[in-house]
Amino acid sequence: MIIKELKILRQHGIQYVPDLKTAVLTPLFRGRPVIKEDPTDQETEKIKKLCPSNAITTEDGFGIDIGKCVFCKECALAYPDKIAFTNDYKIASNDKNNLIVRKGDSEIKFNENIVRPEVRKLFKNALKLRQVSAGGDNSCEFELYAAGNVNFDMGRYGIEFVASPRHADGIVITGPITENMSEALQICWDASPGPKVLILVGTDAISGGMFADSHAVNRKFLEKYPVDLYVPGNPAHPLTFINGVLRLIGK
Amino acid sequence: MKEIIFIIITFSALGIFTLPKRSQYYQMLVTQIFLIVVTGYLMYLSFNRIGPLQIYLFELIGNDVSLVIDSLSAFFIFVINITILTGALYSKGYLKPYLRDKTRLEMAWHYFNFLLLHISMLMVVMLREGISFLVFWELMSVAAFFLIIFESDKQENKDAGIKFLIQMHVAFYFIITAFIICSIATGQNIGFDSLEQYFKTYPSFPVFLLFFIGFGIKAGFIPLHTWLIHAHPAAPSHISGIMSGVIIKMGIYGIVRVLTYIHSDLMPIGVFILIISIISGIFGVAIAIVQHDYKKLLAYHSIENIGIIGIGIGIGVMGLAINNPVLASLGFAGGLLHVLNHALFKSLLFYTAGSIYQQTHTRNIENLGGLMKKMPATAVLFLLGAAAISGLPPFNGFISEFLIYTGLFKSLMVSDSILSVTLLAGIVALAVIGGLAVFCFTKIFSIIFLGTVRSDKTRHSHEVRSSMLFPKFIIGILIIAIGVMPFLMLRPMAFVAGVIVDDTSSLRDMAGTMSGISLSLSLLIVFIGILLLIKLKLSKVRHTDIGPTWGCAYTGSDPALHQYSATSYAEYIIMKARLLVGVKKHFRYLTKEKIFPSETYFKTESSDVFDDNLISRPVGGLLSFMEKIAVFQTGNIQHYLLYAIVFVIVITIISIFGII
Repeated sequence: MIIKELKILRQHGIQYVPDLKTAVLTPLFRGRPVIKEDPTDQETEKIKKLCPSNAITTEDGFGIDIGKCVFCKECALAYPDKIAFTNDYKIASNDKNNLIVRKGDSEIKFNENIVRPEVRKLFKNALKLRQVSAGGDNSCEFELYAAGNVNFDMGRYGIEFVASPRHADGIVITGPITENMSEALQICWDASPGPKVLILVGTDAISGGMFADSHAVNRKFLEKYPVDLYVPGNPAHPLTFINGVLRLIGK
Repeated sequence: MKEIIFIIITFSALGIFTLPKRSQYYQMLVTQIFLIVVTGYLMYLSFNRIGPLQIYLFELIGNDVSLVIDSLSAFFIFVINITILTGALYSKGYLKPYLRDKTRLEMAWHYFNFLLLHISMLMVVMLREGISFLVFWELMSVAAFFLIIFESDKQENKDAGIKFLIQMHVAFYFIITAFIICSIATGQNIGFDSLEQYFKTYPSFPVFLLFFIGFGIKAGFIPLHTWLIHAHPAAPSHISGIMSGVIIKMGIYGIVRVLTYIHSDLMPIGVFILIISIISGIFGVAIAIVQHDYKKLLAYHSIENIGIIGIGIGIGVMGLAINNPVLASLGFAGGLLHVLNHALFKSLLFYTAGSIYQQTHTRNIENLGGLMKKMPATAVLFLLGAAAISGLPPFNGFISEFLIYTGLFKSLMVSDSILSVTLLAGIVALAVIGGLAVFCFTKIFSIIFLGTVRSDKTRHSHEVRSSMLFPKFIIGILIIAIGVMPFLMLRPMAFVAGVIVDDTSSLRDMAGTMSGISLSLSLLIVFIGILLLIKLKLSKVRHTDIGPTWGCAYTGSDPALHQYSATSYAEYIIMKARLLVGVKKHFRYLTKEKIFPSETYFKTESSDVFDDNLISRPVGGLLSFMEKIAVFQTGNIQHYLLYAIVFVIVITIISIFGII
């Protein structure tokens, strides 16, 4: 009997990702976009029409805001010689401006200067988070759940999701923050003891995504409090989330 | 000297009626302190001598009536005085809201009965002569009756008071019957002295059973407890505390006093007391768990603690029977020390319950919640009482239960197998009672003090005035003192147990163990103190946020409704003890009506199977039978004349035929 179990174990092999920082994802993964060449004005107009979530910006030249991008790849399919999506998953940043990808960018930059010193000091070795699904569609929630499973096991860095905001050092928001969840989110934020971090996961949370203009969305909460980390992706990959948090806490 | 004391007490007691409302209380308090000083002096005298202290009072129908104070009496005097004193101090603040509505006479009558209760209880533990003992025993019940029905404008309080009075009279008849049997059989006067002679020559068990029922009704052993669960909640809280603290202990005093005269049939008596006590303890706490009325819950805990005291006494008697001084002295000392301990923490709990009632005007714990923020001192004192009653160190309940446990474990090894099984039952029962008590008090404390407010009743509550907190702090200090320095209690308890057990050396042998307990508990307290200091220091430096209790950010309706309720917390025990506690659920099933279901309700009520089957059902049956007979009482004069004519005719016919 035990031999059978051992066989299964051997068959499954090592399940966990040995190194979360250097793991390479499948080329099919839609990660950081690259702009090989700026599109012409005519093309830009076409791309803008293609984009379902207004992720294309033309201020200071052509750029893709991955805080708004839903990673549908429509633009890359239409102009494969101008835009491509790589499998680079390290796309989390603490500065919203760094989320805009322009020609020649080879990584999403992380602004070390604006990290609050107490975040590095207090949460480096242990960070307990409370997740609030503020109108989320469960895709990001599933990925965050996966971040704690045997494969990704963010617990190895002392990062963990807890059941009550009373035990939490920070709040992780997914979803576009609907009107119905805005008050609950506020209560949850108030119930969590300071100092605390605020992390937005997924395009919906960062910009509202597809629902940015909906009247059922109330994003006033985000105007009140500074956001410590943006984790783009639709949904965000567990590795994106874990690497983003690790950079935030300086590990 | 004694005449002067009696005159002073009589005049100052009657003087209450002449005073205005505001100063009546002080008159009562001063008289009580006078009584406490006098009896305290007598207590001091009796502890410093060998053999009881005797003071001749007067002659009653040819009998000499004297105060006889041995260490058992002295111990009970101490318990009475300490509870009455704290109760009287507490009553000042508790009765303040009533001063406006009650008349001068009503208040005076209450204070007078308070004094009368004090005097009669003191006399009960000091008198040995039968008639005077019984007179004061009755006076005690009557005074307690008037104290219970203080809020007599509520019908339920009057009912509870009358229930109490009737059951006390039933108890009285059992006691007087037992006394008369002893008196007739021995030819001596009615009194405890006749018991010595009687128990030497006749079988002890039947007469002991009469005494046990009589005193046991007072003490509240199951199934004789049914008055207690109605009277305790009905009485004002300072009286509830005194009732639970000392009045029911008078029953224990009676039983122990009778036991001092018994030297035969000890084994069946011991086993009998033990079994009744185990039943009382376990049933008492199990029924307590399902209660919603916090005063009723505390009343059931009184039954539970009477059970613990009874277990101590029961194993003490068994120890006497098998000539095992370790079991006997530890059992009696543990049981009697629990009398003092229970008087302390139960009066503390009732006084805090009274403070909650004064602030919220509800006794239903489902309406309370979140009181810890509004009444922090009351909450801490309640927690202290709850920890003590659950038998947790470093509080006094632990010490008395520890003595009983020690006696049981020490005798387990030396006794034969059948006795070992009985002792093992005692150990298991004590453990079960302790566990369930902890469960029960986590329930009541968390529902009343933690969480958020459940109804409007608690919104305007605030901490009670300091005159109501002060006596509770005194009790709290005593509770911790006995818990931390138990070795101080060993010598007095050896004296007290010495009344009934000859060899109490095993109690003195406990000194080492007690010092060990004392040391480790002191270290624990110091450790907790250091932690608290660190916390205090840190919270001064760091920023503190105060926010509402976390309710899962629920905003749909009143989040308080989604907290654990008392019923849901106790659901497991309710399921297990369904037969015993008789919980009934009333609710309407939801049917398919529309998209959204219409309003529904859910209500639970619990009843006491003993109360239902022993009191309510027989009395109800009798009443309905009487109501059927009452159809004859029409109020019509013609009908009554008809009855008279029928009666005359029937009598005539009967006498004609020569039947009578």
